Amino acid sequence: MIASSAFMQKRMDSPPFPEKKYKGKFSYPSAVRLLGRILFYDPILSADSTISCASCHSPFNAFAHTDHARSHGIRDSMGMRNAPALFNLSYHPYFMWDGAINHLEMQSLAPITHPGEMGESISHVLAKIRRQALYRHLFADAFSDTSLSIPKILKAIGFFMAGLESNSSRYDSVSAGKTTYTEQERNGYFIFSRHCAQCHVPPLFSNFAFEVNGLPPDPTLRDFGRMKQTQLRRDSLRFKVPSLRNLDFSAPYMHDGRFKTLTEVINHYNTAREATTYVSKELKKNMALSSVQKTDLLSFLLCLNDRSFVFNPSHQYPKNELDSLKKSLGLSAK
Amino acid sequence: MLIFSAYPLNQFQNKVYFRNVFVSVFLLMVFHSANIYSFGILRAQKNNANSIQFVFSAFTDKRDSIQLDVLRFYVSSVQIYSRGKMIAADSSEFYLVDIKDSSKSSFTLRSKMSESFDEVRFCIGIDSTTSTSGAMEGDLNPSHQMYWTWQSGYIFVKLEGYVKKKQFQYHLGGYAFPNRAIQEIQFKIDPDRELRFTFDAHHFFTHIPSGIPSVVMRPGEEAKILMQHFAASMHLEK
Repeated sequence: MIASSAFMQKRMDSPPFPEKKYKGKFSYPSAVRLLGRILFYDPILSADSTISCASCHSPFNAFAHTDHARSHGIRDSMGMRNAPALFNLSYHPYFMWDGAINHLEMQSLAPITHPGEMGESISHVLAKIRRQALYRHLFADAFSDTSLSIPKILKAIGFFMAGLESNSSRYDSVSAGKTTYTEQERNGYFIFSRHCAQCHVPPLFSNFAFEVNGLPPDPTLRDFGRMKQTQLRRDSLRFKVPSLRNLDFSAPYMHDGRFKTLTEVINHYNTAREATTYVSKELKKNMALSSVQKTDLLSFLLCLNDRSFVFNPSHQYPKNELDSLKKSLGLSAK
Repeated sequence: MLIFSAYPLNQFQNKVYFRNVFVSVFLLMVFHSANIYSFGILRAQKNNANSIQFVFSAFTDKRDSIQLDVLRFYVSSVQIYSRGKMIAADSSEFYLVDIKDSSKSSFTLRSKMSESFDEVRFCIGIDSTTSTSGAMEGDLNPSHQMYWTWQSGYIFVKLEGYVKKKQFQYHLGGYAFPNRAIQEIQFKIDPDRELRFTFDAHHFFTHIPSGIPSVVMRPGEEAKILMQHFAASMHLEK
């Protein structure tokens, strides 16, 4: 029994977090982060000043876009993909579902300039920001010089996003020895380890690779994923493996948001596919779980939710900080 | 027309050389053949012991059927060689050359050189390490519209205009395998005489490999081919 418990415990030990890929270094990190946070929530980034980053990346949804299969931008234009949740981004080598962006600082350029998202030119964003005394003050605080620039905008937003760290879930508490799983959660953990962990590797719950998971392409969207970037046929229908943390907050699921519930996701992987359907090798066999096992798996997945991250006030709209700044600068509260 | 002259000069010779080059350029502008469309003059002069000025300029021959509206490109990794040995290098500077903007058509390599040089090498494009290093200032600032926003990566060469009234748009780049498109160019220089390098734009536009469309605006096989063709269209006049 003891040996068995030790064996089980070893199987459940969580690997440590890897080294971060993004290591933003600033002389005044708090000021840069505040600037980035204010920019993140400011619709000034969009052409018609109606859409901010937070419009599609809501803090209460783990910075995903709940209840929207695909994100929409200015003038109600509909995008092609589901806005991914934003957390633990410092560990990611690529961004976007197809890995189009190679650095966290450059990521915000894409939605800002996309005609179906914010529809703005980055130069015009800079011009608008330069006209505001609040931003001139924020930039001076953050970068200790009064010149505003596009790279500084991008660095500030990137640094704020890098600070969105989710590592206080129930899974993390168990891994740290602070608590233990229920029997159902433990069963779910072993099912997860057997069927899911090859791609959704702990503790980030993603290997950030691009995989084919058997979803037939939407005939209207004709989104072939990674192939758009590499133009290699072997990358057709490959999408970046998302993290499974905070799933309770970040519905719907998949790159095009076609699944509204986790049950649909599990059923997708549990269902036998046509022999001719190409999938990544890890998914050649369906899970073939019983109803009880599916419930156990779901129970474990819910252990990856991190409420302290989702409801962390330091990630949310900076109302207090803005009010305080505007008051100190003698600016109108609006 | 690329005119490269590199040999040790004293102050008087510098002035004479400078005058000769400008006269040459002026004459070329007036009497240049309609069959050769030249986009740039690369003059590497040893201004003093500590710097070399690279000057790009453009002129058009109105008799030609080529109209160049935009020609901008990145120059990087400039290296100076003497008898096979690198004597000066500048790997940290990236120059955005804009033929249409006189303030952006030249740059100066500052480096102490104790001997004459006989070879210059530089890259057209941005290396992969820099391409994955985030937001940068200076000539790498995304405000210069030489950075793709829908995917990461710099536009190495932006070439737009008309050939026989048909529009072309080439935004060429690509830092990652298998679409790596950066080109290294080497110029061997005979220090005893002036050498002339010509970018034959007529050759470029009339000998583009078959199957290449008039619009290429993403990394890929076509961009790689065009970048190779861009570099190969610069040659040494005999």
